[in-house]
Amino acid sequence: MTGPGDTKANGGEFVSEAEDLLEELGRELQGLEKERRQGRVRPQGINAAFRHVHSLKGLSGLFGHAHLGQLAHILEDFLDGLRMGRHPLDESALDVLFESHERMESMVASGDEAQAAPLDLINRLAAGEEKKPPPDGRRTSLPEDILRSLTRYEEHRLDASIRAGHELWLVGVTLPLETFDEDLRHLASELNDGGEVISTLPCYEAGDAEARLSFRLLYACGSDAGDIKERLPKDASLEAIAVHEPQDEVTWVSDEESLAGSGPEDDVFAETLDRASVRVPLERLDRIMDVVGELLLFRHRMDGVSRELMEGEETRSLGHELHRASGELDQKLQDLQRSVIGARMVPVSRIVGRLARLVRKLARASGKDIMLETEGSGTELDKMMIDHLQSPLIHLVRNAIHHGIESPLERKQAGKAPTGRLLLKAVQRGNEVVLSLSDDGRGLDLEAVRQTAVARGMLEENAECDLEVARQLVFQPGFSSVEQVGEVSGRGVGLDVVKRELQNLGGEVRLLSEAGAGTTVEISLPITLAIMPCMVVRSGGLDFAIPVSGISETLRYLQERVETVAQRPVLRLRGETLPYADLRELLHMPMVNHDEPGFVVVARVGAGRLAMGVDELLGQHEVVIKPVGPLLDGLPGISGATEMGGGRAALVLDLPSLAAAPIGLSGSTNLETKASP
Amino acid sequence: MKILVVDDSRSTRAFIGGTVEKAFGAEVTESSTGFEALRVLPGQVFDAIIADINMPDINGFELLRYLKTHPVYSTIPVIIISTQMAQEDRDRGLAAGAAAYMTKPFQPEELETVLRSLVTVEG
Repeated sequence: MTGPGDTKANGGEFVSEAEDLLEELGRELQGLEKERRQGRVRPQGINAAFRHVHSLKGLSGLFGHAHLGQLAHILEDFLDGLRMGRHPLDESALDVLFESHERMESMVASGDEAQAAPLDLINRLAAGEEKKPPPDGRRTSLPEDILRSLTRYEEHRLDASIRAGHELWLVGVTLPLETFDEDLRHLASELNDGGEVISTLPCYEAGDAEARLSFRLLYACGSDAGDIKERLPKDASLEAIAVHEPQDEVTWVSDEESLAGSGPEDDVFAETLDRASVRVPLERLDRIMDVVGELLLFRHRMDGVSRELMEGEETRSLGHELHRASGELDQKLQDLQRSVIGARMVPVSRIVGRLARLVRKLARASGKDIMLETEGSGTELDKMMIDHLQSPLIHLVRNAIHHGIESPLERKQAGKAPTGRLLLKAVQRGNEVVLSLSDDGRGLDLEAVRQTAVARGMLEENAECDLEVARQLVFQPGFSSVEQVGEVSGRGVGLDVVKRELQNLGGEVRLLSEAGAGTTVEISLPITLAIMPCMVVRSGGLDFAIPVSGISETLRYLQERVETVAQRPVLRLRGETLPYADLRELLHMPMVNHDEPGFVVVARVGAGRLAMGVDELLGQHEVVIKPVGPLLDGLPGISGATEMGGGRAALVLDLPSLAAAPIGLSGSTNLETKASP
Repeated sequence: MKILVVDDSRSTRAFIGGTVEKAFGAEVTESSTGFEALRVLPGQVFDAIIADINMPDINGFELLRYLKTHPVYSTIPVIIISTQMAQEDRDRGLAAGAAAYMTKPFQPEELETVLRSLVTVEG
């Protein structure tokens, strides 16, 4: 672990400083909540919260508190998004901020390493990350040396002020050495009332007496020079900064136009307009991706070498040098990786055109009046995903039109608008994109589902069929509630196929329904299959990678947490009872002796959760997934393999097939029967 | 050797201070903000300044800009430190005249190596 050698001895110092920072963070958060209620959030408050978390991250790094550092790191990113205007400070943002604060307090109080990495919070913090607005293009007459000394945040505030139509000023003051800090704080609070002090720049002035200091404040404000001067000390100077409109007006206007006209049918048109782009076969990008993956492995090896060098008395400084170089290489490689992934991304709107045409055609064929609306169709997904999404989406649209949305007459009788509404919505949540297709039709007909299931022998004659059961049933192979193969709906293909297709893409599908009010099918998909953040675990001497998107939390294994209920092992977790199994059992690996696992990974599978015992957690890695060889292909529970460096490979776990359960995790499944002794 | 450490984190100051005291027998002055640094600068002659980027009042870049435009202070080597893994910070710091850039957390030996290359150590 990096940091001071006498880490343990300095534990008290760590705790006291961390507590101070958390106390200040708590104060800022409360201030922010109050300001939000009053409708005016000061950017300075968000920035102060950011700085406290930033310091906490540094502190955790210094003392080797990995989990706290990890949470602080991602919280810092989240706050950075808030202060840079990438996402709004709304209710849910405040919720997760307060929860993170509380969690960090308990981590500091209990000694971080005793607690598991708070993956749940980390996932929520990673969600909601949105894209930066495009740079404004307006330039100022600020001297280069001042521009260079702005932090990214100050640059953003400058940009935001210009966008808001504020004027820019440089305020010059010369203050006595004894009181300059107090004077400046006073002046800043005076000025911040009607504008914003963006940067405070100490300046050397040739005539300055020894006991005086000169400053220039970069100030953005809506009021005129006269008003500002009233707030300044008498001997202060005020200089206006010119803001130039973007020079390249033509590109700017055409950008606006292409945004305004991004209707679904205009896609092809928009593409031909976009002269600055090149079409590249996906395989070429795949090849680049592979090479980056291999380079990352080399980097890993370099790291190993540098560590060995650092241990040697004579080679230590050489080792540090190499270590630093390899760290920088790593950053560059990650940039490269992100760029390649970025190049594979296409907006969901690419498939909207086809769906809209399909809706029109099917509606006409079935004598219904239906409108397709979209939300968030600019959300981007891997091109390969988009291609493979078409067929399941078409199927879902057919289903909604055939089973969901009623005829205009029926709708009128039910008190609904005669025109049925289909809504395709796409939202990015962290590493996932959630697509949902909602109709405002009659909802899932439970009785019809029950009868079909009975007729197909999937349900006992008198069995109850509530919404939960119906939801499971419709995804079962062989279930299809269409009486005959209709013109509109599928050709005897059921939702089970849709589910399987989506699972092959690493996705999950859920069905939500409200009787009379409609049905929503929600699909969550990883943004890309090319690379996946995975938690790497060791079990029975082998390494396995578990996609982070499927993990709800990790915790230390405690014998007393595992009990046997109805002859099946279960894990008690905060009042919940989860099916439990050792990963070795799940994968039919030999259990040499009954030694206890070290950790438990709680995975999300469909609507349920599954707790798996593993020997060790090896940490989180960005993993490039490769197909497994013919020997392992088709093995349930394994979806691919990845190289870990140093000649080791890890198998990538496929959670849905690992927990393959006909009816949820609560029913009798092969997984749980095998897990029982 | 006299070193000025500017960082709003107590532990980081203590860590850096402890490291340079042990390695060089250096005399360390600590400032928790850029303002404090501005106040201590006129009275002493420092051999090197180690400053964090993210600080309240004035940030490390603003401090660096001041030092590099000042006739007396401009020759003092400045090491910029940051926890941010941003290449941008590093490039900016170096372009603005920083002698070195280090990313927290780092080992005492790393700081020692960097300082040794910047400052002529007597004895």
